[in-house]
Amino acid sequence: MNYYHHFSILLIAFVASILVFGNIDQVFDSIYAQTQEDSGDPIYPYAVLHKIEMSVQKIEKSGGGGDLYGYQLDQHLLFNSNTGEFLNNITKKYSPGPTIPGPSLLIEEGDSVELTLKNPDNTGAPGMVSIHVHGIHYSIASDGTLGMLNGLRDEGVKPGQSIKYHWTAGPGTAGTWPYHDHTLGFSLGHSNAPGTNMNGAETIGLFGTLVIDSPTGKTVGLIDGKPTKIEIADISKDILCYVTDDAFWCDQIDYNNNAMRTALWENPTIGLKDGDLVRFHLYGMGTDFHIFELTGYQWLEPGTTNIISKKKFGPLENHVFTIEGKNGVAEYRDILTSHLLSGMKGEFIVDSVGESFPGKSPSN
Amino acid sequence: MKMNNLLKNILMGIFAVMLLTSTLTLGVQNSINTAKIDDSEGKKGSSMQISKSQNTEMKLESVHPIIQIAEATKEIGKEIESNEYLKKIDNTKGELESTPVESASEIGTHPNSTLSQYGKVNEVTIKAEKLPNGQYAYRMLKHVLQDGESVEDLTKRYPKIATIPGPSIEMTQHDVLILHSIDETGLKKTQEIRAEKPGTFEYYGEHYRTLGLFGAIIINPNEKVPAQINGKVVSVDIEDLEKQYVLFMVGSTFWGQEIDANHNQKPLWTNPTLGADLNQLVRFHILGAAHQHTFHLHAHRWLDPGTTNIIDTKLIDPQSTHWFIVEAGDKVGIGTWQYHCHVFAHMEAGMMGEFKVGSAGSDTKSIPGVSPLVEVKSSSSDAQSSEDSEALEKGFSSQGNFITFDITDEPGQWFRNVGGELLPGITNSLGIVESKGTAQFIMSSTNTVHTISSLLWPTGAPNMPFDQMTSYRGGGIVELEKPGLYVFTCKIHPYMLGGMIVDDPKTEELDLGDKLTLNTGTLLDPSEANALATTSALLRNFFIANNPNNWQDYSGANPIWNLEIPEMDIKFGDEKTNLKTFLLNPIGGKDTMPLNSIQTPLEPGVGEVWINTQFEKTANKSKPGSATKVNVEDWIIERKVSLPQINMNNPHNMWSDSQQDIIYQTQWFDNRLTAFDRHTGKLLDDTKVGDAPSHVITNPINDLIYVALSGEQGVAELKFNKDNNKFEILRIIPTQDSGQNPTSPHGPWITPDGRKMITTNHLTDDTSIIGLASNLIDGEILNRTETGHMPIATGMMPDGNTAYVADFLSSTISVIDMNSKKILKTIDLPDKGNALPIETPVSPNGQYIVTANTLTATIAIIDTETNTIVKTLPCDPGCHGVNFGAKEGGGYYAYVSSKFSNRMIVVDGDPNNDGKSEDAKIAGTVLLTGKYANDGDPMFNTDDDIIKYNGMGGQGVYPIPNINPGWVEKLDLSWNLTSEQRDPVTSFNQINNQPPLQANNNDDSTSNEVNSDSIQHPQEQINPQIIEEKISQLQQQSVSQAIDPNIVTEQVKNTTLDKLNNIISLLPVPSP
Repeated sequence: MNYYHHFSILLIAFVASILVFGNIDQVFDSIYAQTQEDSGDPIYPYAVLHKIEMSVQKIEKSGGGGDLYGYQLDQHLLFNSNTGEFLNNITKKYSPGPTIPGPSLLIEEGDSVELTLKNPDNTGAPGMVSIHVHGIHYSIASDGTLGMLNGLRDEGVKPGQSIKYHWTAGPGTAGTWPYHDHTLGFSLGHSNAPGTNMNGAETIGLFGTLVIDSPTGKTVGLIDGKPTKIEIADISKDILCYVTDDAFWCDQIDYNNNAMRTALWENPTIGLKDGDLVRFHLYGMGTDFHIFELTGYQWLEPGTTNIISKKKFGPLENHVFTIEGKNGVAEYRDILTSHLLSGMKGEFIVDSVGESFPGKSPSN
Repeated sequence: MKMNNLLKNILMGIFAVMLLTSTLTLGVQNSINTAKIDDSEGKKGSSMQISKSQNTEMKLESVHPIIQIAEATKEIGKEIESNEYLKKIDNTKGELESTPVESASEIGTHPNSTLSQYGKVNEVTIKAEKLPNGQYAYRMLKHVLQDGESVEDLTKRYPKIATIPGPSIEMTQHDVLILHSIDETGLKKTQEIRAEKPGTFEYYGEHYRTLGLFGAIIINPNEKVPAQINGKVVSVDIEDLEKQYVLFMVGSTFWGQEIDANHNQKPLWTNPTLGADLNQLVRFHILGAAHQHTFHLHAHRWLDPGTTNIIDTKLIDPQSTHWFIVEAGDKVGIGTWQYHCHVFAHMEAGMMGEFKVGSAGSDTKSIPGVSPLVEVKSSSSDAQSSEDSEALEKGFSSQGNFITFDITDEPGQWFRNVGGELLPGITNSLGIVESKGTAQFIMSSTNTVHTISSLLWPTGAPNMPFDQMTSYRGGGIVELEKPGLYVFTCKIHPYMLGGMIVDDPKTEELDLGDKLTLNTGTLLDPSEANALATTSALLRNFFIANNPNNWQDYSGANPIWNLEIPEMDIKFGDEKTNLKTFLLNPIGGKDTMPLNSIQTPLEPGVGEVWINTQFEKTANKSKPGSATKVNVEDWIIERKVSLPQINMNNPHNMWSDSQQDIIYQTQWFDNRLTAFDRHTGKLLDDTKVGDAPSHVITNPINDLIYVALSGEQGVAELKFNKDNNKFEILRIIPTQDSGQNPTSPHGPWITPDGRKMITTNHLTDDTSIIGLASNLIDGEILNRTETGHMPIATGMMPDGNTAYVADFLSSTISVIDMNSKKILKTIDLPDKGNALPIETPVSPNGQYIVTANTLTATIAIIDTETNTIVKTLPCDPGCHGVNFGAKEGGGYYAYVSSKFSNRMIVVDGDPNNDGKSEDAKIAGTVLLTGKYANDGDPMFNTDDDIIKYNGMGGQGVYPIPNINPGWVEKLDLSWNLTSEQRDPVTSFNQINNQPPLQANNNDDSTSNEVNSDSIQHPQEQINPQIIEEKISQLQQQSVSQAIDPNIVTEQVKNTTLDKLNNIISLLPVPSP
């Protein structure tokens, strides 16, 4: 995240919000303030062009049962969208190697993305793979689907090939969105038509998260039991978890540590410093539905002021909420009986250190 | 898919209320800024109060219309009576023609002052009709809108035919709807609905909701509604909508409809292409009528009604409805954008369609998908009639080209063609279409998860194989474009079979195709005799499995097997024959065959055998199945346990506690494990363990219970607390690592030392070997070993070093070294490719294996020393379950069950007791129906009355006492067993001429008192002290022996039972 660059706009937004909105009632107005103007499209003076290179890599598993696949962040460069000026190289903010979930991409409304996906000759998937993203704007040529669906062409890559996707975080795209493989059977070397044995790579590791932050720099969280507007800049950690049919697969962005990503893998121990704000981004993936619970915590149902302590969601539905850490050990879990019994849970530890501990990774 | 139903209902109830209240608020205030943060708690409370006050005033409004309409049938009559302005509606049965609909004017003649508070009055009459394929659909008969004095007939808006979804009833907020619905039996009901809350709601029939009787009620708000357009949340006038799409998500199919700007409706049927021009304002209504889904539309995002949340994927289940407004191609442009259910298995099962956005002004139209309609060919009526007669000539009646199969728990109707029996009296699981057609599946009559998977198909056919990676709840839809035979199965319950024949009208015969491909990859080329034999066997099995009249009934003095096979001319490649000839010739060519009379074995067994007569139907429950107890000392049926109080569903497999008091029973087409008292048949406990629990086994060391969950991805571990007769579920041990493809374990076994479990993984064609001991990593997958196709059941050598796995679809037995985890050998079963082996236990002394081959109906005896088949014995159709029990005086009986017969076959694997099984023979048979007195009363204990399929469906077999190595040592001394039977490991080592308990050790110097005891006093009654010592020794040594050599373990030297307990305490004991 290009916070340093955007600090000024965040500050302006923050000050503006205090000036304009004396009352927390108006948080939602603030969120939509910009989009409710009738004066045409908003202008994003600090829009960033993200040039991202990713590849698909095999994550080999010993002991049989089949390998997994992961997206790997190879390069992430920032440019000024308007001037073309090079701003930064944030490649080192990502975990090295392929991860599950894939690299957590963090951009802001107004930004655009040029994403190049490679399927390396020897180390990648045996068949075609792609990236289909939700939420953000893109033309049909960047849908990441097969030609038989989009009527245009196969928007994926076979071994040795690369493909470039163009995304634009236009107005109204702020939110947390998934990206994932959409080539269905092609990814494992099958050549079947849709609807036919498309045992794809979507469920075996090829998924990740795109976070588009609101240009207002604000979100809403439940703090001390009250719905409260929050400066996104005040959030210490983003925890991004895919809830698959058998595990939580998590990634972390730590803003106390220069927005570094840490692959937390399977059912990790999530750490947070006492009193810090954490934003959870949860996604379903696969075939099962889930009921998420974080013991001892309540949060806001997205887009409402309803205070909830459980949330049911299904594949590719998102659930995003921000809370303040309370000293102690809580458990995040899927309370559906068979999921809970098979170990879909982990600890959420809030203490003075705030360190997260990765869970089991497929390669160990 | 593993949703706890109660919890789900509660939660969804809450969600529904939340959705409705927030929608209400939105509509009234016409603003997205409704979520006031300060009074959030108060808001919830107040909205509840609103609901309550409405509830007392007028009941109908406060209830979700879905529920309301479903439950309204009887209550509505009272409601109507109490409303003065309405005349009482005749609620008696009668066709529309004989009971005219009340006209709007009649309503007008009884005006009530309260009416004026409301808007217009819509009087609507819809009628349920049966479609040619057996699905149901609503047709609009009349829609009259009364607005004050003016009356407008809106009927012309609707299609003249019955459609799925049914007509969408569009109303404005505060309108009144008087809905007359005539159900499929002609029964007319009337309901009054006041449209207080704007939004989209569902109406549906009391029956057949999953088969098409559903439609939408769209209540448009009086004011504008918020929507995200061009990146902004703006207020949209409903009148500005250019198109509306109604999509119902049912099974794994979208059923669509379009409403144009003039409110004219057009059916779009299944998975349609929705057409719009760029930037046209369109509204989607997404509704669920069966199963859980998540709706996703590519490249568009929208405001979740009642919130400020922008989403692009939404949970839809039978309780929920969702609507949203988008501009077509908003900021993303023209294109063919996919919409689909994002549940992965549903995507695999075909649940997708296209949202085609054309350029502005291109008038891009929606394109209907395939439908159950039978198109009347306008060219000439002669063509139609000649086609009909052609169909008749070929021996079937036309159901159109769209066949819908309901997936059921009902024996012989697992794939039930809802159109009825295409071949009357022969099968309900076959569909025949001409040229090309559609097969649709819906899991609406089953309690568990399944897959819809191609078993065979015409070679090269498009869209084949149809398959899913995991089991699920839902359905499937697939177009069959190439003539020939298609057979579908459930990979979880592989005897569930549904067939489709796509007939080429150009040939006179019914076409099976040029060549067929099996899902194992095997090509069935009709020019090869072996392929013809396989095809014949598979099809014969299809007609046996799917027709209870074709099951072998051994009751009666001179049992006869009548096989009903249709006499139809068929064509398979260039081969032209009659189906009956083709199927019957390999088994003698006759459709009536005498069956052998029941001959009980001459020598008695020890104890009793419990058989799951899984298809038996009883009077007081809807689901099939019972456990049948055979006393094997005098070969009579003593008890049947059907457990109607829990509607026991397809009991598949059993095990017991070490004391042999409690029988654990899996319910395979459900998600429950049941415990009943072996002595009384009384139900003790019934608990949810996970979907499709297949086999159950205990750990011989600590008596923990392990249940393979074939509809999940692991094995449930439980214990049974005898003090309160309750199960306690401890955990589910995954049988694959996270992220790997789901395994669906079926028939596990545990090594006699209790340290390792091996599961057969249906869906991944391998086994998982799992550590169960504390010095192995408890519950960890030690290895996955690849086997043949669809491994299904396991046998274990007494030393726990070798497992035998039946590869169902490969018709092989994989011999697996439990230590190196490698395949030692693959044993081909007779008639390679045709055997389809299921249960395959090893004799307790490790001498031989008895394998039940379900397709060839044979029993293979395999010598474990050579791993070769030494004898093949005849079995019954659907030969399935095998397990060993003790023969009185020494030796063993293998008890064999068959799904499609009602007898148990008793095999003696070594009659002359010479350690060789070449002389294996059938010692006798036992009728599983039980005896009835002259007055019709059963002469056995039972908890329900058997109404059909008596004794049928033999699957799990569990002899008591359990004399398998590991478990036999725990038995009470009162059992009449020989010392050899009590000490099978020693016997095994004796046979193998190896030192006991050291099978892999060549050190012969180990002194062997146990062994010499056995040799010297084979029939002697050993005193309890010695037995205890022996058990103790066996336990210690086998335990320490199976420990990974790399791991240092404490050497246990004591030889008393107390010390055995010490060992047990070293093993994982779950905390309470």
